[in-house]
Amino acid sequence: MSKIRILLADDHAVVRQGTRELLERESDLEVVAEAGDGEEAVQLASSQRPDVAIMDIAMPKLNGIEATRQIKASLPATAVLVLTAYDNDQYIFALLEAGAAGYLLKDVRAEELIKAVRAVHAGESVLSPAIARKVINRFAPAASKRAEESVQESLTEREMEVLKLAAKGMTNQEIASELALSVRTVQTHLSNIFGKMQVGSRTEAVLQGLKKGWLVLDDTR
Amino acid sequence: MESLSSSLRNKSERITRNRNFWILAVMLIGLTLLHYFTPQVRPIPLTPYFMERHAVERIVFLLPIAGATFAFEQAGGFITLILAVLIMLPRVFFLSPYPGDALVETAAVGVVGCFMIWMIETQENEKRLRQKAVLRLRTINAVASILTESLELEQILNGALAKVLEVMGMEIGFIFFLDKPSQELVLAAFQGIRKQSTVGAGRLKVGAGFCGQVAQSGEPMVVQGPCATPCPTGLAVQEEGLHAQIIIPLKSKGEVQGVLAVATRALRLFHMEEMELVTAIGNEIGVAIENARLHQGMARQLQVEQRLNQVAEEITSELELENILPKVLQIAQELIGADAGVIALLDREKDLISYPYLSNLPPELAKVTVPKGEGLSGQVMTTGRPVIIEDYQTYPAAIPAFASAGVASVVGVPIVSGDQLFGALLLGSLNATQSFSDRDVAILAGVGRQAGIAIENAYLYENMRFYTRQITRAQEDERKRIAREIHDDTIQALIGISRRIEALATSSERKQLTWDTIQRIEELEALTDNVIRGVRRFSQDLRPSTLDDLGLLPTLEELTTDMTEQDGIPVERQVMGEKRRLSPEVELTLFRIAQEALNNIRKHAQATQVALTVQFSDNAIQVTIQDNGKGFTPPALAGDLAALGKLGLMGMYERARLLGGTLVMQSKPGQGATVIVNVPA
Repeated sequence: MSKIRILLADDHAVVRQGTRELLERESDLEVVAEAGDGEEAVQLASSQRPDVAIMDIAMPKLNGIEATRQIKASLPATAVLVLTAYDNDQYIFALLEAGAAGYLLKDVRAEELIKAVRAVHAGESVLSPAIARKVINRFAPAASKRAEESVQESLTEREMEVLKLAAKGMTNQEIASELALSVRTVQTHLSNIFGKMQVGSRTEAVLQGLKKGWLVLDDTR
Repeated sequence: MESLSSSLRNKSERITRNRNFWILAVMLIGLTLLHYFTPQVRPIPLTPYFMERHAVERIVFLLPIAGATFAFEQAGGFITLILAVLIMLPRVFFLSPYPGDALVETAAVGVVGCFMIWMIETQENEKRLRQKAVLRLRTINAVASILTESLELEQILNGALAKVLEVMGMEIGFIFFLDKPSQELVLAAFQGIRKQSTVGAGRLKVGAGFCGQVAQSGEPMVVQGPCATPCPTGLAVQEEGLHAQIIIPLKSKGEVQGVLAVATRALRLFHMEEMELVTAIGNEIGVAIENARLHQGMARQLQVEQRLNQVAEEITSELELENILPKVLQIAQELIGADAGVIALLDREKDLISYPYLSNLPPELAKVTVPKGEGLSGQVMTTGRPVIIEDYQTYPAAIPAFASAGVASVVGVPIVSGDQLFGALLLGSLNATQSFSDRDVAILAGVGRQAGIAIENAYLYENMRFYTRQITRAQEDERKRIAREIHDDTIQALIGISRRIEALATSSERKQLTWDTIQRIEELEALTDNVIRGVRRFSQDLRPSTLDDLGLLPTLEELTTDMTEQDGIPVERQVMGEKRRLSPEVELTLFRIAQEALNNIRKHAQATQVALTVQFSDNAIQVTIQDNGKGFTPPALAGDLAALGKLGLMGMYERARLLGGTLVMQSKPGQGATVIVNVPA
């Protein structure tokens, strides 16, 4: 299996180095680029095309949220994890709206960081249920207005089922047992879904589904 | 010869027409008949012994003589006397038995007759004189009443002139004013000649022509015959064939106010009384002219005062120089009747004079700048005194741009306040010179001082706003710094502590701890979390990081969500128009105002519902916060807020104003409150 290719963006060189060391201890992770500010992050992302980007919010030249927005514009398949100081709803909404897959607290422990990188790459959700709820409630009302039929048709029935279950907050394992499929199959489905929806993570897929009106609030309960 | 016979014919016509003539003739004829043709009668016992028989008739002849004197004056009386004597003489010499006595009687009648004629004549003369005097008085009174009817000179002069002509029996008259500043006589009224003939006589120089001479000397003049010397009224005189003129000065308190000239086409001599009459009337007219002038003067002064008041009002009603100075310039121009004006301002730092405010001058002049001290404005500013230039075109320090705009006469005054000089106010005429009186200069100097006050006020206010902005900025920077430190250091440390306490309770050694200890640890954890929450809230209040990072809307959302969750007051949010980020200053100010408003609601309003609306428009943003609480009575003036101790509200108001926006508070006790802030963005 190929390594997960990671881009690190943080304006403190020491922090970057520390994180790099942490990640490269894992055999399945590879840091392919380091950026010291938002602009550099966007440039390196488009040239290196990483699978996952880990970005600090507070960066010079371009802050983390803006950089996320720009990276997602050209690389929808890249999953972006943003590091925040603490749980501030407004920041979380803002970064998710910019296209981030999830967020992590700045002082996150090494294991959690590694777990999050793998999870997001596997299509799992990286939001805690409480936050996930808040996020869905926030984005749902606007979503019910529109329903784009066109792309919906390109998702197979099976894929829609998987998506709906994901929206309910189920893990891949739970979805697999619910639909009597193997976990790998579920992952494949999710991969396809991400590709068709032009997203890089489960969170984005659910949010987009809500915005486009394929999923309604009830689907998430 | 012709005129003599024609006047004789006229006279005889007049006489024969008179009724009295015929009565007298009849009387004479009757008496004559009586004297000669009565039949002889017995001696009348009544006649005294020395009287001749026909003495009675002789005496009765006195009657027609007296009558003739009354009716036809002395001449008539004497003619009748001679006739009577002639009639009586034949009887004396040819018929009377006592010719001696008869002759004596006839002679007596003659003498008595003469005496009688003389006495009657004297009395009649006196009566005539008295009548003339009464007529003169009446005329003077009539003229006086015309003159006092109104203060409108044009009106009364025509009326007075007509009366004078009437009483003098002349048909042509002129009245001239004396215009003191220019020393010219101006035609004010004329009668009896065609209008065309007055052309050329409109303005006469004092000293020129008869009228001018009278104005200069102040003495009346009689002119007989056509004017020989060049007479400005000469044209009129020659054309209209004037032959005799009286020209008198119109005086008041001994000063000449004008000239009155009356003339006739006929040959005529003027009596002393007529001269006196005309002079008396002239004096009355002189007084009337002076009164009218004084009145005009007062009316103008009143107008000037009103305009000056207007200037003061303008200046104190607003602070925007852009609005005040053009108005002040315009009023000054009207006050002294100038064609054009300019306000020159001195830039003290660059030592340059510019002309930002122009009235009736080409707008390109606003771009002209000259070094300090140059030009007329420079002279005014350097000397600090008013300057009058009669002809700008020949003024050595004239600025070419202004000279080519046609500036002719200029009066300039400094614009000062206290001992600070700001510039100069200049007013002038275009293309033709104009003279400015001392009064004009005094008025302008007053306007200049007021303009100076206005400018000083505007600068002071601007300074104050600048300082207030600086202070507010410093305050905000300080808050930001403190919030950041709390955020980066304090809260992080607290979180660290919280985590480690948490770790204590969940560590693998947990089993070794007593239940009690675990309880206490969990309490500590809860306490620490509380502290963290409290510090976070404090830091957010001080300066929310979302404001700088994410903008106004997310920050307002956080603010209102907190209010709903922590204070239990639901806040309904609404955003209208196209969302966009605004300048940091605007976003910060609007946040602070909303923060203050919500604080007030939390502390005082006892409200159960709040609505916050943000409306974006192309060039402004409006935030409205409305609550359904107990309301309050907003003071009439924002300035009273400080006095009432409501510094928070005062601060909101000032911050909105600093950005050039407005803040309105609407509330009534029991009816909630609404705060509306609108800021250009």
